[in-house]
Amino acid sequence: MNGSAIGVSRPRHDAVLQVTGRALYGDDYERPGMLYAKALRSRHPHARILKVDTSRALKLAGVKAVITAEDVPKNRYGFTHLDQPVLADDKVRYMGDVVAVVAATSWDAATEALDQIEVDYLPLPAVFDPVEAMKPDAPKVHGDSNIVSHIKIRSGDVTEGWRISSEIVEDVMRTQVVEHCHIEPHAALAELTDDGTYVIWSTVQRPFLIASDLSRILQYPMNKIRVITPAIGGGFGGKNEITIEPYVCLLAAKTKRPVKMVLSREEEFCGTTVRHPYIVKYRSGVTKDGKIVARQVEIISDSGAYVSWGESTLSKASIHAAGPYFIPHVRIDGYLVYTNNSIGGAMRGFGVPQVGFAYECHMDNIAAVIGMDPLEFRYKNLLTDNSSLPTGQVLEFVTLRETVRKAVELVGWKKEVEWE
Amino acid sequence: MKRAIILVVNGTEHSVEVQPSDLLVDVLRDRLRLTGTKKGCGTGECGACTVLLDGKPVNSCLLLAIRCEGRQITTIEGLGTPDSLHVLQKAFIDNGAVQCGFCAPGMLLSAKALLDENPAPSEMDIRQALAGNICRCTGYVKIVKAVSSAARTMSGAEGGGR
Amino acid sequence: MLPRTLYIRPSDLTKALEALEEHGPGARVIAGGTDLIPSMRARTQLPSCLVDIQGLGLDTITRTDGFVRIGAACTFSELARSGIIREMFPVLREAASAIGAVQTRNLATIGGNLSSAVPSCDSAPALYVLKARLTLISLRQQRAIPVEEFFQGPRRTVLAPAEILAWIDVPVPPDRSGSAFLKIGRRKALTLAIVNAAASVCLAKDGSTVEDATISLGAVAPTPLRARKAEALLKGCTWSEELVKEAAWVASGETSPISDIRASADYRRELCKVLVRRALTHAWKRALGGDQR
Ligand code: FES
Ligand code: FES
Repeated sequence: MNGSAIGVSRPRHDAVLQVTGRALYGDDYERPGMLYAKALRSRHPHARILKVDTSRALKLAGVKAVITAEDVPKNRYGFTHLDQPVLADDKVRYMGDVVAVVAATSWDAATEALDQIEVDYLPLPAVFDPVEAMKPDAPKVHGDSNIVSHIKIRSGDVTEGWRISSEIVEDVMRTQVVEHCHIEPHAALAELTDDGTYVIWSTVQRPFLIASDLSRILQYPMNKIRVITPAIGGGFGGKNEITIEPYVCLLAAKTKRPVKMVLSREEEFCGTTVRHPYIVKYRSGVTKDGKIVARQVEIISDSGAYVSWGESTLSKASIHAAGPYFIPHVRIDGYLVYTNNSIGGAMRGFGVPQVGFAYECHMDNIAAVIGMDPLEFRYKNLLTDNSSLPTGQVLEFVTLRETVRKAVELVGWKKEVEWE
Repeated sequence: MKRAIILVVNGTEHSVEVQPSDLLVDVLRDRLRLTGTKKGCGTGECGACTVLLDGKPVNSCLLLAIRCEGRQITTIEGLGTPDSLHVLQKAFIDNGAVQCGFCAPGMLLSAKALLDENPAPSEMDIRQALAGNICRCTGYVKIVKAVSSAARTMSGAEGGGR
Repeated sequence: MLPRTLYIRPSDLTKALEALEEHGPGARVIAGGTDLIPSMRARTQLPSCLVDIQGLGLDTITRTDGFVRIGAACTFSELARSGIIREMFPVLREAASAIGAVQTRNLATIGGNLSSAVPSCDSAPALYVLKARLTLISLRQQRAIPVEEFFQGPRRTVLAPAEILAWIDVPVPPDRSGSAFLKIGRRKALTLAIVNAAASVCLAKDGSTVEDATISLGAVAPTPLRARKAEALLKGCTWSEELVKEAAWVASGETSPISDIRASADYRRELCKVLVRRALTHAWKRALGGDQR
């Protein structure tokens, strides 16, 4: 190989298996005596659970076990906040919440059993708009406030910034919910071996995170939990955390048989994480010669029913919210808000695409207001070597200007740009 | 109400007992263990389950297995093997047309049906033939490239299409 | 995982009708299955019995005196490929090619598309402007109706229990006539129409007076519709761009679209104007003989 792989196209090492249909993905695994699991999800976006009766389902032919919240040793998980139940106990907080899971000898038997599980709900008022959810009298998804976290970044003094600005421009941008839509739905298969080890084949991007979460949920030593990731049919962040693994483990332990579960496309939409929709407000002050001197940003992130990766994505979004521009006076406030919507999680870019879309639209608007070419306006404000970010980080080896110049050249920008 | 039927898959006859409601995709995957055929949506939207029925691409998630008796079914396992790749498979590898690979079996079968009917397709022909196959990873550009390069190889080398 | 059901593959049409009669209202005809199977999966349709009408001879396209007979079990791929359709009814070929994607067109049938009676049904506007007649058959009777009388509302048709749509007769269009179909969806394949439109134009001997014109729109009312006021406006007039614009504007006013996940009612009304104008213009060019495709 002589060392160099740079500049050379190399085929994927598993491509031959992929194009011949021999690569094994999550749902392609099976074990002898395997059972099939199906989840019963909430009927309401927000409701108190009064009673769950699984007795009728258990009597059906082929049904081997049904699990509910009582079967979970530690029924809360989450990356930064332990707020999400494996199986809903006191309340359901969105339509994707799972109330019970059935294991049966066939997919048909498991599906039919779902109709026989009786759940008594007391529907509660629900909230779907994060701005509404921030109001004091909004229905509460958890505890006594829907604002889960408030991230603050301050640098300089924006009041001073407004004072020295000759023009102030404000914009509000909204981004939509996005589902990852990896073509392969989630699948997991668990087996409890004779020596007491859980072996789990699962479509996850982060096997060790799954193992440690499972260890806490099952209250079981992590060295006896082995997570195997087969070929994955796309993830994009949607397979970044635990989903159905606890169900197949709990059912495997209960039935002493391997158990497999696969989500339907409908469940992918309603019961797995999505990209957070953001509402982003920008206010920027510029001087006559087109220098941005102050920027205030407010981000409202709809977390949905649980936090998942909401706080970490919002942190990253907040750090990036001022854009790749040097601005002396900055004030950024990010709010993560619970609603009864689908849960926001990790997705490509991790919060940055939302603010990136917003600040670049904002930049165009400012350029229009001050009558400057949008490219020149951006170029003038780009971060350079030794610029500091609103977080205080000082940057080195910044090649933004060179990159922009090269891009302009390659694109053949409509007009000659006068680089300062 | 199970019924014994004979399915001809990749030239081999398989006798299976099916319910009338059993879908071809499930019979192929779960009963015949031909797991190369993938299931992405179950509603005819993604094309991952594409197989050839008498040479024509169809969604096996929309087809009752019982209706396929006596017809020729081709799955990805019948296109080529790791030791003897079909020109299209080779072209997908060489052009980097596969990322996660979950769409590849369906894509390849749709492409195969296209080239059988139209050995010299335009880019538009290729895009239309593959419109029923969703790929979430590649952005399609390299897939289209792979299909046209396979078409060129096949027309250049007589009988090179296996 | 579909709900359990019985399955019958009759050996001829009479046996199919008998099976439908015998199994009562729970029995459903299955042709392509591209609408029925997902509905069963979603449990919005729970047939007790499926009667397969494939292989009963209802999948042919034959030319007879003055009309072409299209079997209801003809797939859209067969329609799109047919030389007769290409030559005589390009509007129908355009509609057939606009449905689903290759895989679905290889399964889905024209009879199934009509019988599903969704307001966005792509084959209907084409058949409306071709003035097609549908033959409905049950054990008791056989009747032929104009295609426009077939639909009663979203997913509702005049089909009686145990009656099936057997074939479609499309009259050979007069000389100096042309027709065209257009569809706008959220993407170019595998999508329902936001609006679809078909138009036909028949010119008088002078080559510029509109002798007859028909306009049909889909997805903008509970059933596909004919824009009769716009048609009346065109008849007897001399062809001009202004005239076509006005007709398109009038046609848009004859619709009653709703706002839904695909588009708003206002957007649909705007699209109607654009699509009718374009469909009429294509049809006119074909009537002049300038554009056959
Ligand atoms: S699984 Fe059949 S089209 Fe998606
Ligand atoms: S390669 Fe992943 S979906 Fe196509």
